[in-house]
Amino acid sequence: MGLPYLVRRTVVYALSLLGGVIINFVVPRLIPGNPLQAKLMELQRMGIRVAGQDFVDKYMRIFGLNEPLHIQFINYLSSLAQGNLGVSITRFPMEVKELIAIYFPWTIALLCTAQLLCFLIGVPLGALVGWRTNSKASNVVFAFFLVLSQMQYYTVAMTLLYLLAFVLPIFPTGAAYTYGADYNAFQFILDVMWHAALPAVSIILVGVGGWTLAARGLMVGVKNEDYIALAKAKGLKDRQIFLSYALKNTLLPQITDLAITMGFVATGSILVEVIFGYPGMGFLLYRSITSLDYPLIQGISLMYVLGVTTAAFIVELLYPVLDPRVRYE
Amino acid sequence: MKPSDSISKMALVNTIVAKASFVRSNRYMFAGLCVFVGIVLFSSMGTVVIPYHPVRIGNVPRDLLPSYEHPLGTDSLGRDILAQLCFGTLMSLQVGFIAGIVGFAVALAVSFIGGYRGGNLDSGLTILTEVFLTTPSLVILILIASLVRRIDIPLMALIISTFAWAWPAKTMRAQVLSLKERGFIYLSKLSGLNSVEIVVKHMIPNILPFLGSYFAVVVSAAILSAVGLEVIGLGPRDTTTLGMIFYWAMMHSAVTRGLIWWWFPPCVMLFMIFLSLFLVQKGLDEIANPRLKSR
Repeated sequence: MGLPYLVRRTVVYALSLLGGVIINFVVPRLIPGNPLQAKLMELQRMGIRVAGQDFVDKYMRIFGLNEPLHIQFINYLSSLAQGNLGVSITRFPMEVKELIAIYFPWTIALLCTAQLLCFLIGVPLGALVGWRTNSKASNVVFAFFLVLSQMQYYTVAMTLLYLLAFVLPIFPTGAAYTYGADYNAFQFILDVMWHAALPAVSIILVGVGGWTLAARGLMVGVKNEDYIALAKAKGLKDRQIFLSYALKNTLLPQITDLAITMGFVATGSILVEVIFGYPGMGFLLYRSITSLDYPLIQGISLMYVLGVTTAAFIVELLYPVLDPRVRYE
Repeated sequence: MKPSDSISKMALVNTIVAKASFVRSNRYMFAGLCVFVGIVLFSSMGTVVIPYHPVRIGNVPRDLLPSYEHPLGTDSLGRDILAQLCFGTLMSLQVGFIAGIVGFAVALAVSFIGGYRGGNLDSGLTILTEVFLTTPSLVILILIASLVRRIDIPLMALIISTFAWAWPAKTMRAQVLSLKERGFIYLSKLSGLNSVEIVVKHMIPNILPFLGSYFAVVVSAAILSAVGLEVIGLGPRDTTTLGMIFYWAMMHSAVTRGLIWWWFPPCVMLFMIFLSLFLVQKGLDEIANPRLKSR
């Protein structure tokens, strides 16, 4: 590839963002006629109570819908740059960004914890399984995670919800904390963890499967490398070779996968949040879809695109720092 | 017929025979194909044998427990669940295969044109592929699907295929790059074949097992996206698929009402589909690259 690493990553990042913004701009305008009137009429036909003329005015003013398209696009970009995402239809006086600000922290906390745990459990486990391909225990573990990796977040989530919240009511069936309870800070944290446990576990269970498989595959390759043979010839202990030679080299290449799977986990968790009624972005998105709140749908999708591509970009920039074998060519 | 033609045909026949006998000895591939054929037979038989309509609301009593007449009971909308399961499986597979074929064709074109021709076109296509890979596809699909009023199976498949091509395009391009430096490709260029002939007659047959394995991945990814859209309420409402069963079950809080026979069978079916496609893919990978067989 002709372009240097840094430039290529930046171009890809910029284009992904631009693509997300353009889709967000174009898709609603593909609806013939005044999109706002069409939406309001559609909502009224469905018997949903909608905001009145002041909403229409505010919307028209914010988006300048009477301007020519290219002016509209520039206006759209500049309002995005100011962090303006429009106004929610179903929760009218609320702006989309205010709603997102309420729901966003829950998602980010859940996702980061789950993704980090997946990586920290899955990779060493997979490396160990790959290191000991001949032992029976490692083959059983491998088969178990192979099965897990083919499950989906939502099927695992529904099963956990059924077993641990309905059959054995150990965990709550929804929400992120007990509403109206009078807790001190410590009790509140425990309460939050108790509510987040099942959603997090369903993401982790599936995620760990994928990481284990990938790490095992890498380890099988690393095991045949010359430096492992050399370490053995030097008479190092098996444990020492595994920890300081093999594990490191299976860990590093997986860091880029951390970036690639980010999007997958983020979007997969939408459904987990819906199933557990966990008040994150996915749940908000589900609500906005069922109530046809288009500005909200668009604002949330844009946030997802922004979040996922930025996270991937950061990981890709950091990767050559972590693994000296890769250079910013 | 030019001599090079008959030689390449013989070589092709030889490799196909060798690979075909390998399929039987490849346990992943064999198991995966068996499970997949089993799923298709089971659901096709089901749609023929079961006398209840899978989609029409209220054609059987509501919320029945599993019984002799309704082996998986009925749902809260008055539909037989086994009938829905069988019909829905076929519909979900249909979405997966339509999206898979379209996405795979695009990937094939992008990777061979880019990888074989090289140059600026290749750089452009590579960057485009990476852009599609980094964008969270389900979110964009949700955005598109939420603005389409009425969605049916082919439309759904087409929407999904807009993202289905990126991953196979990236991996196939790498294959094309390594393949085009091989001796026999130079030889066929010297013997005066044009690019299309080289790609179709010499390159594609050589990476056929790889292509098969990518196709399996694309189909299962497409089914995954489809179910994702359906669960969130953006699926085809006038037919049924595995994802729509989840959607209706969630709408009627089937999980917390303990109606396990409603939501659990589609979970199992979905798992079997993914598992069978995964096994086929793993088997094909081993056929393509026997060193993957870890001992």
